[in-house]
Amino acid sequence: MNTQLGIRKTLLNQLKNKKSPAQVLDLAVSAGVSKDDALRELEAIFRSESEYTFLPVLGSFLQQQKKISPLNTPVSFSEVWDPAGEKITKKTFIGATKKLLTKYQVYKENPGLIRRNAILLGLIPIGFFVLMPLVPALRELLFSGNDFNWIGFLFLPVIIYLARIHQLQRDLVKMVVADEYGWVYSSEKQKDRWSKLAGIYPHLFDKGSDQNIQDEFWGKFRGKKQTVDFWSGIFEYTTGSGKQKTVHKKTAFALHLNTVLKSNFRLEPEGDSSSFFRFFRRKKEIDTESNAFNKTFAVFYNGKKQEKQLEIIKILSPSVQVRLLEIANREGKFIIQFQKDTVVFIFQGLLLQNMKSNFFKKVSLDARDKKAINERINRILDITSDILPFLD
Amino acid sequence: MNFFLFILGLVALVGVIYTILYNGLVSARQKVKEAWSGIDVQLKRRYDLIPNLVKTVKGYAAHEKGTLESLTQARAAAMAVPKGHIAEKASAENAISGTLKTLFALAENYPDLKASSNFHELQVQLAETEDQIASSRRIYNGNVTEMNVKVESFPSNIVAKKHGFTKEEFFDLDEGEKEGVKNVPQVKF
Repeated sequence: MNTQLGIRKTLLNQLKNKKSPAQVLDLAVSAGVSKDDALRELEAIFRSESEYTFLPVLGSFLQQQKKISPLNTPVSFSEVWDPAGEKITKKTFIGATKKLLTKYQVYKENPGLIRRNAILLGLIPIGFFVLMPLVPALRELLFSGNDFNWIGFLFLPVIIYLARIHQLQRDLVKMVVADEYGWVYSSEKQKDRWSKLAGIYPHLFDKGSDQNIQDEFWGKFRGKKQTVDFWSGIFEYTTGSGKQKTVHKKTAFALHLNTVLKSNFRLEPEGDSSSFFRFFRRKKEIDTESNAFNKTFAVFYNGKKQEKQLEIIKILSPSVQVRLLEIANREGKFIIQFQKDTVVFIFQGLLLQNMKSNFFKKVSLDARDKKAINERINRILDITSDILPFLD
Repeated sequence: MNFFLFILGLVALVGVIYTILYNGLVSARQKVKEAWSGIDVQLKRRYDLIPNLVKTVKGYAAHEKGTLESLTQARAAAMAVPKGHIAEKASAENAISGTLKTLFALAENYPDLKASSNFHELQVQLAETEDQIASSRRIYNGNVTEMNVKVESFPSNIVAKKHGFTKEEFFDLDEGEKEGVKNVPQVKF
């Protein structure tokens, strides 16, 4: 076992020969390979292989060794499932991914570049005020009117630059997480993606104006009971105008079911619609046997109550209700759409808040950011995929 | 005249409040019954699965006659509990759960049984039923808590006493389940 590849191949063969991960590790150590190296190679096997029955056992073993995050494994695939029905593969966004990596490489090779650029751009407003007493035209510009709002524009270049660096950090962290799990990732803001999703799920995505979908993940998640195809993205839209303009960002998750549901319906937080509309909705309301559930969610559906009630109640079994309440407790308000073979969740807020990475100090990704995204995605997928066996 | 209108208004207000409280108690009691129905449906599903399970296991593990008989007896005892005897029902159902756990543990010693697709299917269905029972219990106990709070707290306790509304019984879990299962979450956004 001299080379890394040689070690990996040997370990893989032993696993294929039905040796347990613990036995394989012991054999490697007794053959002179360090425990860390052997575990690293076992983790590489776990991440890169997809067809072997020993993978779940290996995953549990590595988890015990605290080498990987729980539950997930990258699965090699050509095309991933997409709730908008588009054909998505790793190649679809390879150009954008390379662009992101190139930018990162440039900054990594020139660590002081970000700070230098920020300082240079920051000099623009400073330069203006320094030159102002010396250049009559600039003095006139400043004192000609009563409106000084234009001064803000002097700071625009540095603000835009800082925002772009911040965005680069966020995109890179997510790209690293996606790469680790074998998921497809796209950081791009896409209006046409929104348009497709809004066409299929209008009640979830047909809101506001200036809508787009960004920060998308596609992949497989290995839950406690089954592996599920999932999609995640940030839905951004604007409401209001002028000074009342507000930009909203919600995190969407979609899970692919193994079955087609008999009824399409939606759950929204109770109390979100105004009491005026709730009054008219009262006759159509479907209540389950749980007071807690009825107080938390309002059920929306098309069609007659007599026809839909039984089908919806069947889907909202006690196990599903209890789990939806747990999700609400952990993740806060959310909307959930049950539609054909898909369940879509819309959560408040973003996957990653309060980034720790700071390219101005050091051009590298903080492990805490990766851990935060990892944990949030795993937590959401873990608890949401827990519902799926009860819907099949 | 004004004083008379004031008294009239006060009486009307008290009447409205009384009606709201009464209806709240009726609704809470109804929800408890509904939740109990939910448990009942799952328990019946479990009763229906058990004979199949006994028949399948007998074919592979005839030596476990004792456990199979215990399961059959526990099922019969649970089905015989009269309606409304919650504590007795809980005890009988806990006995079935305990015997099923023992049976599935024993099945590990019979590879042929474990490999049987019929047994596997029954195991999956029973596991799902157990989960539904546990969830139904949580929902039921959540509704019972709400009912009991209404019966005991002021001013609804006045209405409750007058109209014979009483506290409902919880569907108690066994010690093992008590450790793991919490009450139905009270969601606060």
